[in-house]
Amino acid sequence: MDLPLTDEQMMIRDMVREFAHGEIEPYAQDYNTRGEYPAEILKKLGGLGLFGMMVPEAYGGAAAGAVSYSLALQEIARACASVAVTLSVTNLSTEPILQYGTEEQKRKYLVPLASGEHVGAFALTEPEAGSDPSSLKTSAVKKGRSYVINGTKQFITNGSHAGVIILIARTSADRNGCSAFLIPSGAKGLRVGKEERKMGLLASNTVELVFEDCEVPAANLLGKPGMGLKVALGALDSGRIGIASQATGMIGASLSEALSYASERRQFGKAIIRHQSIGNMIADIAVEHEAARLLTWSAAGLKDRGVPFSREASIAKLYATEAANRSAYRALQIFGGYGYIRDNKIERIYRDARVTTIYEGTSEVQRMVIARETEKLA
Amino acid sequence: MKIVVLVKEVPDMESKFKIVGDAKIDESQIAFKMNDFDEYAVEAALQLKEKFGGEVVIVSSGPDRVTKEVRQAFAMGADWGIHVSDPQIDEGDNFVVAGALVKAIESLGGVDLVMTGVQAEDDQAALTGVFVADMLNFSHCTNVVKIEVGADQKSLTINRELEGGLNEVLEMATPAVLTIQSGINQPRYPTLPGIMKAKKKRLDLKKAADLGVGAIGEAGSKTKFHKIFFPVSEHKAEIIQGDAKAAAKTLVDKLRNEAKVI
Repeated sequence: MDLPLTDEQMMIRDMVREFAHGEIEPYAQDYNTRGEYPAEILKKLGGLGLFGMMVPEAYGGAAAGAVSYSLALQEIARACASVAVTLSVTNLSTEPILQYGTEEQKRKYLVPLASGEHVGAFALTEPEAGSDPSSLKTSAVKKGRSYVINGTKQFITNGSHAGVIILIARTSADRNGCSAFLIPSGAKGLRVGKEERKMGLLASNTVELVFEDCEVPAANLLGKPGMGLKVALGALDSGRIGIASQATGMIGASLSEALSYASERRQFGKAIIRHQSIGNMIADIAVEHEAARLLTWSAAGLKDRGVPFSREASIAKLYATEAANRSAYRALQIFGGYGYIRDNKIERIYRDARVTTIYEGTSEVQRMVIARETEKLA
Repeated sequence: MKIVVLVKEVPDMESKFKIVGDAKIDESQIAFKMNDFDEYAVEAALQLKEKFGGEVVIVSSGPDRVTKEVRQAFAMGADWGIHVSDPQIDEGDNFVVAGALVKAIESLGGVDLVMTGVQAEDDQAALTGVFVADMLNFSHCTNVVKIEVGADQKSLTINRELEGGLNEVLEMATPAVLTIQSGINQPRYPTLPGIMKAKKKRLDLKKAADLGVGAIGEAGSKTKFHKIFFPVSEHKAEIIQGDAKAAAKTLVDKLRNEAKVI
C-alpha cells in the first residue's frame, strides 16, 4: 500500500532506491563474498547526506526526520543489509551528541559525522554485559582534568572505521554509575582488538575495542556523570527504528527474490507460484512486509512528532526482525536447492537476517520493554 | 552565466499505455518522471555553474504534476524556476509549447545559454530545442556531447555526436541553445540537504496570458494528431527443410526472386 508520505519523503525514498539499485546492488554480493567493508559506497552515501539524516542543517545534517531515515534504510537494506547496519549505527551515534552534547562537542564530533566524513560507533556491549548494560565493567576514572579508561567492548559495529566512538563506561560503583564519553579514533590507549568472523553481515565491520589506560580530556564527557545509561537507552530507542527498517527492507528483498523466481521456475508444467503451497508462502511474505512497513512507519512517525515512541519502536523492531527471519526462510524454501548455494542473494539474506533479532536489544528484551510500556498505558 | 534548462515530464516507459479515442493516451495509469535527456542537460548546466558561477533556472510546461520534476532539478542544485501551467498550452503541439517556453525565457531578460535534452523520450520529436532557438533567434547546436566555455564566457567549443561514432567540433558564441545527448555526463543523485531545500526554492507559476503567449491550443498548433495506435506486428517465418545443399539453393532463390534482397 502507499503510505501517506510528504513530497520530500517520497523524493528521498526514490533517490535512495535509485542509488541502491545503481550503486549498491551490483557490488553487494562481491563485497559480502570478500568480507570487505564497502568504503567506496559509504563515501558516496556520506556525501549524499545519509550519515546524519536527523541532524539539523546547522550541524551539517539534512534534518530529514525519522520517517525519511526509515525509508532510506529500507531501500538500502533491500540491496545490502551490511551497508544498512553501518548507516544505522552511524545515524544512531549522531543522536546522543545532538541531544546531550555541548556546542563545542557538536562542532567537533557531530559536524564531521553528519557531513559524511566518517562513520560513527556506539560502544556499550561487553563480554559480560549484553542485555543487562548496568553490569558493565569498563571503567573511567577521573584523574585531574582527564578520565582514564580501561576495559573491553565487544561486537562494536564500525569499530575499525569510526571517526568517533560513543563509549559507555563505569564512573562509580553504584548500579547507575555509568557515564557516556566521546572517544576520537586513534585515541592513545585505544586498540582495535580482534575482528569477529560472523555468520552474516559480512560486509560490515564488527570488532572488539580494547581500552588500556586510554586517557581522554574531561571535556569529552557526554552529558553529566551518571547519565551513561540514559544516553545509551535513548540511542537504542532510535536504533530500534533503524533495525526495524533494515529488517523491513530485507523482507522486501526476500519478497522480490521469491516472487521473480517463483514466477519463472516451472515444475509440473506450470510456474511454481501457481502451485498453492508456493503461492501461500509468497502471500505470507507479502503480508509480513506490509505489516512491518506500517509498524516501522508508525514508530518513526511518532518520533518525528516528538512524542514518546519506545513502545512502538520495540514493537516494530520485534515484529520486523522476527518476520525478516520467517520471510527469508520461506523465500529460501521457494528457491529449493538453488537457495542453499552461496552467491544466491537469498542465501545471504537468510544469514544476514539472523542477527536482527539479537542486536540493538534481543527479541526477549523488546518483549520486556513492550510489556513494561504497555503496563504503563493501563 | 545565466543558464536556462528546459525540462519535460515524460511517462515512465514501464507504465501501461492505453489509448482512448483516436489520438489520446489514458494518463491515469501512467507514472511520470523527468525526461532522461533533460536530466543530462540539468547536470551539464550545474557543472557550468560550478565552474563559472551564475544561476540555473528551470523552465517547464505542463500540468500541476510537473512540479515534481522541477523540484527534482532543484534538489540537484538548480536555483529557481518557472512553471508554465496552462491547459491551453498543454493542448497545443510542440510549436505552441516552444512558443510559451520562449516567452518564459524572454521574461528573464537576457540569458547566456538555453539547454535541453536532444529529444523527449516519449514523442522523440527533437523539435523543442530547435524551435526555441529559432524563435529566440539564437544560434544552436544539437546532439551535444561536450561543452567547453572560453575564458571570456562568451565563446563555446562544442562536440556534436554524429552517426558511426564520429564527433564534430564547432565553435559558436553565446547566447545559444544546446540540445544535450546522452553520454555527456552522469547526472548526480540529489543530496538529502538538496532535497530538503528544494521545496523552499522559488517556483513562479505562469499562465499563457501572463506571458503574452499568442499561439495556444489546437488553433495555434502547426500539426494535428489524427491517430495513435499500436503497430500490429506480423510474424512471418519459413523454415526450409531438406538437406543443406538443396536448402541453401532454395534460400538463395527465395532471397533473389521473392524477397528481392539480393
